Amino acid sequence: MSELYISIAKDFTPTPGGRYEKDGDWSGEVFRDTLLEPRLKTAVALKQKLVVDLDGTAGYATSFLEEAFGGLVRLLKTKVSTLITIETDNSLRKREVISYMTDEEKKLQ
Amino acid sequence: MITPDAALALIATIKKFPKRAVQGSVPVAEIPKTLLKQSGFFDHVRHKVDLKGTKSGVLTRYNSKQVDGELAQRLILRGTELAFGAPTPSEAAYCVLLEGMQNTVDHAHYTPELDDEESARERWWALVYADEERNRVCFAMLDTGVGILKSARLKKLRKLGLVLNTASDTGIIRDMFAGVIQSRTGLDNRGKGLPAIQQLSDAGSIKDLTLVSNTVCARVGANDYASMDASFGGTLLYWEIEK
Repeated sequence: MSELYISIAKDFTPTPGGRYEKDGDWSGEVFRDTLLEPRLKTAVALKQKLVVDLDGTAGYATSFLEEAFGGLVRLLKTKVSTLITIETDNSLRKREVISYMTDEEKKLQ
Repeated sequence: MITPDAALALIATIKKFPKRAVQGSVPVAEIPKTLLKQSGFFDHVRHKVDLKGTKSGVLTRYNSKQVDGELAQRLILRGTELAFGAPTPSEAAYCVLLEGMQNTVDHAHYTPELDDEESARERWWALVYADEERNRVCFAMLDTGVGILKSARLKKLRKLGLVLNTASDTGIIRDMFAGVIQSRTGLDNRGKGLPAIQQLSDAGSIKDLTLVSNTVCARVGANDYASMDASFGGTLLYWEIEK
């Protein structure tokens, strides 16, 4: 397990849940706060990109992905889409996740 | 004629008012009788006659305050095992189940005028049913809340003028599936669930997608959005997957 690579299925859960911690286990909020944000900070300190692999899970709710990635921009109040590489065989999902980050980034301006 | 989603709606309605005794007889006709037996309907009601049979489905009730991925996966694996002979993951079915659960959590309403706290707390129900004849797994998800058209979020959008008061109920549901209302809000990071489900339907990953909420029955897969005379309290989602 690299500090600069996250497999959601292996490092977090194969069955991602909903948006907030209060909504149930394995939420996007918990993923963001316990794994995504700390690893991103490490990557930034090392001047590297963080790779997030979305494949291998049972699937996703949009709320999980939006809170994790869009929520990361809201939390850090900075542009993160250029610091994260999304890996997945599902091109639609990749575009979706990138749009969650860029949509929030537009609001920062 | 009774369908899996109707069996789910029936049991949810009976259970919502536990102090009001609802009585009924087992259907005489073999097809509806078998469906009720195999869906797990009779696990939730008292009955005198022997209704044991080979189970083709699982009908469950959960607390509304949970988006439970592990449970969703269990339902999918159980349904596909019964229908296809082997547990088979389905990302599409997982996505729709979780969107349905999240919708219930987001729009759950406590209804204090109901008999007691237990029945006042909103629940969601899920049914997975293996239609072996059609080689499909049928899913139904129901929450007994206020329904999409009466949700707090839609009221807020109406107040902001983002949903016109003159808009028809069918038009609003159609726009929600198309993502039109969500994009109209600009700043809103919510409301992405229904467009995601519509995409799965358009891509053919799920079949016969239907939503019933308040006065609207939307057969999304067939692009048929119809008004109903009677209002349905809550939201029912139905879809199927095939091997």
